[in-house]
Amino acid sequence: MMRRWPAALLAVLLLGLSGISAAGQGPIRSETRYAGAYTLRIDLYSDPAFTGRRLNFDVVVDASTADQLRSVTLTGSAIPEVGTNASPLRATLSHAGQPVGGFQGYVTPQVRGSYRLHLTISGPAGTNAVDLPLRVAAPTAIPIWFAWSIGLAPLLGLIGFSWGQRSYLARLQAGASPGPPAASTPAAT
Amino acid sequence: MLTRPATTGARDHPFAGERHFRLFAAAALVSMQTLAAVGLGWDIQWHRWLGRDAFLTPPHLIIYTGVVGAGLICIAVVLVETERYWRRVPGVDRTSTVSLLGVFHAPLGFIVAGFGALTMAVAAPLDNYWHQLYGVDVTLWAPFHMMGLIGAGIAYLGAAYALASELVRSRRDGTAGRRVMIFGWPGIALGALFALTAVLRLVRVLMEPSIETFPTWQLGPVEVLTSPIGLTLAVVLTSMAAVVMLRKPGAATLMTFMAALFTATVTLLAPIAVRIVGDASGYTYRLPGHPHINWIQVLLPFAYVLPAIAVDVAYLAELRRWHRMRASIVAGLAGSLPMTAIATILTLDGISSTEAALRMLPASSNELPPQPAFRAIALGALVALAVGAYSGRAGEQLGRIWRLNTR
Repeated sequence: MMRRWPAALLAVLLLGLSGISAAGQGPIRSETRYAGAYTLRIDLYSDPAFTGRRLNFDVVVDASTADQLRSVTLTGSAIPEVGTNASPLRATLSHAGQPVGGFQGYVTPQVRGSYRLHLTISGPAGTNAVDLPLRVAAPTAIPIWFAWSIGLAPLLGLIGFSWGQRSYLARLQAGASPGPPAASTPAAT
Repeated sequence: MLTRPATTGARDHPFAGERHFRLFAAAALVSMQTLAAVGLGWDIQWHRWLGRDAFLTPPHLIIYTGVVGAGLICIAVVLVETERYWRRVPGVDRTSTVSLLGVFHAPLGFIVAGFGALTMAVAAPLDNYWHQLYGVDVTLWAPFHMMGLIGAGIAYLGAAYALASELVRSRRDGTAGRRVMIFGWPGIALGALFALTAVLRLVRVLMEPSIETFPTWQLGPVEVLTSPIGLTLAVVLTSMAAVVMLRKPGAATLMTFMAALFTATVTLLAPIAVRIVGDASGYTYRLPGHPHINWIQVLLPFAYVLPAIAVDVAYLAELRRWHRMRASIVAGLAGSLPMTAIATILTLDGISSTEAALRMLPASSNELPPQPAFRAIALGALVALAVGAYSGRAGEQLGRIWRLNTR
C-alpha cells in the first residue's frame, strides 16, 4: 500500500505536465476573414470560450503590399448576440512583434451564450471590420431550488438568532437591578 | 482607595482602555460597512447604465473592500478580546462578552457582524457564477443576491448590537467620558442610530424589485401587493427599536432622516460617478443618453421620515397611558398607515416611470407588468397593517435588548 504513493505522485505530475503542454500548443480554431484590402487570420486558443477565463487569440493581418501593413491598427470587442444578456466586452490587443501585422489579444467573457468577435482594422488601405462568431460556455447550472436553498440558508441562522434573543431578553430583564417600583409608568424597565 | 466618580468619565478608569478599543473597533466596523453601502449604491447605477463587463468593476471593488475590511475587524476584535478574557483584563468578562465554541469570548455584536461579513464573502463568487449563467440583468431577487443581502443585514445588526452595548455601559458607569464627544454618550448614540439606518437602507434596496418589476406576489389564488409589507416591516421595526433603545423623543425620526440623507447623497452622486468613469473609459451606455441625476429618486428616501414621526409620536404618547405591549402595537399601526400609502403610490408610479421591468423580464420584453388590481392593493394594505403591528412589537423588544445588553 505504501509503495503506491510514488506512482500516484508520478501520475499527478504527468497530468499536470500534459495540461501545461496542452496550454502551450497552438490554436484550436483558425478562421480567415477579408476586410477590404486586408486578410485577417484569426487563431482562437479555446473554443468554446469559458466564462471568467481569458479567451486568447492571435490575429495575423496580410495585405497585397508591405506598405499597406505599415502603421496598421486593430481594435476589437466581443458583442453579445440577441439572447445573450451580457455587456459588450472590449478586447485587449497588442502588436505581436513578429510577423509584421501580427496581433495578440484576449477578452474575458462574463456570461455564457453567443457572441461575435468584432475586429476593426485601420491602415493605409482603409478601415474595415470583420466578425467572427464565438460561443461561451459556463459551469454546469445547479437546480434553481438548490440555489435558493443555499441562498436563503443564512436566513435560518438569522431566524434562530432572533428566536434566541427572545429568551435572552427575558434573562436580561430578570438580571436587571430591581430598583424602585415603577407603578406609575408600566413601560419602565 | 480614592477613585474619581465614574460619571465624570475619568480616563483613569480601569475599563477606559477596553472601552476605547471597542468604540474604535465599532466605529471602524461601521465605516467599512458604510463603504460597502456606498459601493452598492454605485453598483446599482453601474448595472443600470453600463451592465457588467467584469467581476471586479470599480463598485464591486469598493463593496468587497468594505466587506473584507469589516470581516477582518471582527476577526481582530474576537481574537483580541479572547486573549484579554483569558488574561482576565478588567472589563473583559462574562458580563461584557459572549462565548463562542467555549474558546472565543467577544462582544456579541462583533461575532454577529463577522458572520454577516462571512456570508457576504461566500455569496460573492456564487453571485458571479449566477451571473455567468443567467446574464447581467439578473433580478435583485436572485438566490445569491439574497444571500449577500441577508449577510449584509446580519452584519448591520451586529454593528448596531456592538454600539448599543457600549451605549448601555457608558450610560451605566460613565467610563466613555463626556469630555470627548465622539466617545461620549451623544457620539455613541448617534453612531448606534447610524448603524441602525443601515438595516433600513438595506431593506429599502431589497424591496426595489417590488416597486419596479414584481409588484405583486401570487400566493395560490390570492394576489398581494408586496412593497407596503416589506417597507412597513423595515421602517416600523427600525423606528421602534431606535425610540426604545434611546427612549428619547425624536429618535426614530432622527434615525430615518439620517438614512434618507445618506441614501439621497449616494443616489445623487452615483450617476455622476458612473458618468465620469463611463466617459473616461469609453463605455457604451445601455440606456439612451448619459447617466443623470433622478431628483425624484434623490428626494424619495425622505418620504420614509413620515412613518417614523408617526411611530415616535404614537409610542411616546401612548406609553404614558398604556402598557408597553399595547403602546408598541399602536405605534406600529400608526407607522404602517403612512408607509403603506407611500409604498402603494411608489409602486403604481414606479412600474411605469422606471421601466425597469423591460430590462429585467426578457420573457416579456415588450410589456411592463400590469398595474396591480384593487384587490391586490387592498390585501397588501391589510397585511402591511398586521405586519406593522407585529413589527412594532418586535422592534420594541429589539430596542429593549439594546437598552439592557452589555455584552
